[in-house]
Amino acid sequence: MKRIFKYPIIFAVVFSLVSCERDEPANGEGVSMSDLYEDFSFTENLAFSSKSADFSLEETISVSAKFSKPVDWKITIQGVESGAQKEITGFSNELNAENTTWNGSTTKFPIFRAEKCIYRLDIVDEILQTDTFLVDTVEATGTKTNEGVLIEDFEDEIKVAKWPGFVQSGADMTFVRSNAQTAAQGEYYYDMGGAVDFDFLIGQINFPSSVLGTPTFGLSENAEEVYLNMMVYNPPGVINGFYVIQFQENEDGKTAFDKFAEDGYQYEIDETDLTSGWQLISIRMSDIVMGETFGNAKVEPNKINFFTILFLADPASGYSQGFIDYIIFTEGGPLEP
Amino acid sequence: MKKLLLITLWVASATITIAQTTGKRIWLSGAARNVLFFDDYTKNAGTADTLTAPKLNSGHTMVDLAANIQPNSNTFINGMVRIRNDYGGFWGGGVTFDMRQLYLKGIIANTVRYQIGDINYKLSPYTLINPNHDLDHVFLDYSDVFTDIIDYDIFYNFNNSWRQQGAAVDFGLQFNKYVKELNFSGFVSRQNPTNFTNINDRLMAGGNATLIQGEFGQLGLNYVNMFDLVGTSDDSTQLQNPVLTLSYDLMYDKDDYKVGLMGEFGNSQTIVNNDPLAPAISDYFFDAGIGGIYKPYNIELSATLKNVGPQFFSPGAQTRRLDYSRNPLAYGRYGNNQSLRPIGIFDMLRDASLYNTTLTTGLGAFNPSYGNAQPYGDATPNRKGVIINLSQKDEENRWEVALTNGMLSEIVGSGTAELKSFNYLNAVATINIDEFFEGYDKGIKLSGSFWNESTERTSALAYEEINLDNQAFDLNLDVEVIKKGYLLAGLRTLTSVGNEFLAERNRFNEIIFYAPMVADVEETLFMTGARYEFSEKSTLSILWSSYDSKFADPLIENYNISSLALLFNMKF
Repeated sequence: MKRIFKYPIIFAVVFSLVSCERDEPANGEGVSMSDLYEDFSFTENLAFSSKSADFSLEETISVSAKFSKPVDWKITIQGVESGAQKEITGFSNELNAENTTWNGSTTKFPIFRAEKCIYRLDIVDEILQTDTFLVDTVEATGTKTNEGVLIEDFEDEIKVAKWPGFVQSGADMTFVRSNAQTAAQGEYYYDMGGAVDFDFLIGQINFPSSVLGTPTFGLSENAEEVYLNMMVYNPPGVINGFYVIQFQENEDGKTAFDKFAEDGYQYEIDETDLTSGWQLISIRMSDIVMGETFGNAKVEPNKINFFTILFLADPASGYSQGFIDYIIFTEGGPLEP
Repeated sequence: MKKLLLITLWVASATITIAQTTGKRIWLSGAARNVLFFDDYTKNAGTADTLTAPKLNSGHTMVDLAANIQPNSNTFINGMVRIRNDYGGFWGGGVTFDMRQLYLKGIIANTVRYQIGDINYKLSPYTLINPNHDLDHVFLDYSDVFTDIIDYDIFYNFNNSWRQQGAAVDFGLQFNKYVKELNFSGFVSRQNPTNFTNINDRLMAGGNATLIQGEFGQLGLNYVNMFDLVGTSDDSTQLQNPVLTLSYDLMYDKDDYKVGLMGEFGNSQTIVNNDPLAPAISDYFFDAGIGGIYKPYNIELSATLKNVGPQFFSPGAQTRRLDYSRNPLAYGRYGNNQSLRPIGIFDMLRDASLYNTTLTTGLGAFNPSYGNAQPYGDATPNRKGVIINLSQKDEENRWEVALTNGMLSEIVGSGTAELKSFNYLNAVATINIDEFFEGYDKGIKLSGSFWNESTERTSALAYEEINLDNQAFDLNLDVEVIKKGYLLAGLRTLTSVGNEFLAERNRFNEIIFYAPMVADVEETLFMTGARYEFSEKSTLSILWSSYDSKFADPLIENYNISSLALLFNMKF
């Protein structure tokens, strides 16, 4: 019977020893009060790694600074000539090369040119509801080079003229290279517009690889990693148009496309899905859904030797217009302009 | 050893006993109630409130009808239906029928008692317990008139147990030497059902083994675990929150003195399996008390030393009754801004919708003005310190006084190295005036209480400083003017001035934000009325009350609600 008493005592001792472990952080549990309620200040002033960079040489600009507490911050870099904008945001108590590096890329189009830029740092303390900002200038002496197969940026008039196309005989037709407005990249873009009251098709521009002097566009066979990127401009208030991009693959090795033996497929972009102004459309080739086709029914970018961009609108909807610029295939990810 | 064992049948329910002696097999029992509130709202100062209806009448009549069925001597079935007609309902409109309660209980092989269906269960203060109402230690008699209704409706009236749906068993062994009894109990209950997509069934299971020595005390081993049942939905993560404790109550009783050691210690773990973001949390607590009674003067003194870790999480013990994140039903929005009306001491007495009926895994919202030292009961995490109780009761039942002094602090700071301290004093006195007059056969009772609590954190950094002072006062007078007929009067006030920070936690109970709170509140509730007791189970009360809520913050509108309440309660 004495064993009955032994067990609880032994258990209690063991239990006490096992249970007595605790972390007692010196600065308390949970989020730090100082991170929340200390007044914001710079503990280390803002410093630039460089005030200018030639982004074509993969140079970068970053800043460093330290704050008294973690805060929401936003860096806005705006091109003085182009109006291009780059935004970098974060929540931290430190700015450094890891979280502020600018490689010449763009958040809001057009793309940066070689130009002077306004560099603004905004710091918002949500809890104490204070705003702080600093403004300086930096200079892009060269623009960022994007890796990929550039099809057309509409800067070279002679090259643009080589692309065949078709324009309906409608009213106010404008299938032309233009610089009437700011281009997404460089000086020129392609203006597609008009009013056609008898057909959906307003016009198209074709991109056969033969114009580049190559049998295909030299892309990877893996559709998962190939993207077609294109800058599109939606004029304010004009949303009745839509783009259809049709691709053709050369699967039989012959020059002419045989739609009853080779794969052809298309991707549609509706203007109602776009916002006003320039924006980047990146299409992963593997996302294209094939309709009826007579090839191997597989998207194989390495076999694409022709694609065309058609601009269409409902004939009853009146005048329609859209601009395109900087058509480029990239691999491994969408374009980061 | 075999000779020592005598397996006994434990306490069978009184209803079964009655049924056996009378031979009754099916009988009805239940309760009936009529409640009417006639509220009158006024804005205290400033621009007249043109948006809030000044008068609001509400109430209901209801009958709980239970069928008690005893198909055999070892089985008992109870099914209770509630028929309720809200004020304004007529000819069937507004009438609701609900199944209020359904359980089956009995005895297996004259040894193991079981209950399935609706069960009420509690273990120990650190494993599974339904804590007392907020400010229960301050607000006395009048609270009972109203809170009895709430307690009955949401099953808070079973000795601090939680009403759950599940199954429970218990049995005991009795010895004739060294140890008097060894009792075992266990239960499993469902906390929330699966939605078959992303919420698993959540269960709670636990039990207790209690060794009762008899003359010198008892030891208890308590275990409870709240856990998800993986496979009941597509969610592969699984919460497990086991809590294991050892409780003891040792006593030595000799001549004029009785002394004792009582307490509980143990640990908890909070684990979320298959969630890479989930931290593994564990912590321990101890609660060690020493107490004594000097019998000639009926004086009782006790002191408790406690230390409850900041990461000790026990859903069964830390789920609060009042959920401060809810809003009152009556005058839920008020004033010209139609602001949400915060819960006041008036609502705590009347509004059952403010109270939790299920256990929660996170630490629920509370109002520091209504008690900041131990908002989650004894098991409030991140507390250490000493609590001293002193009480004295007159042997002729003429008075009873009690004094509690708590001196607690945090174990680790809340977002800072500096610790908060919590000091409170609670004094309660009851005087049965009639007992001073020999031969006077009607009751006159005067009771009062005072509570003061201060929360303080000093720091060299101004934003870390905390200073919150709470005070409450309660005075009640019950005068029996005719046999079983009482006139009642009561006044209670609560003031809270200062500042605090309210911790906001994520789903792992980690603190992610400290929201500043500034209190400058004064609440006053005056009540008067009459109660007539037809019998112990049947009372009629009519009470008039005036409640004032004043805020120093000009953005929060002050108001008054006066109310006439008519309450009839009967059990049969």
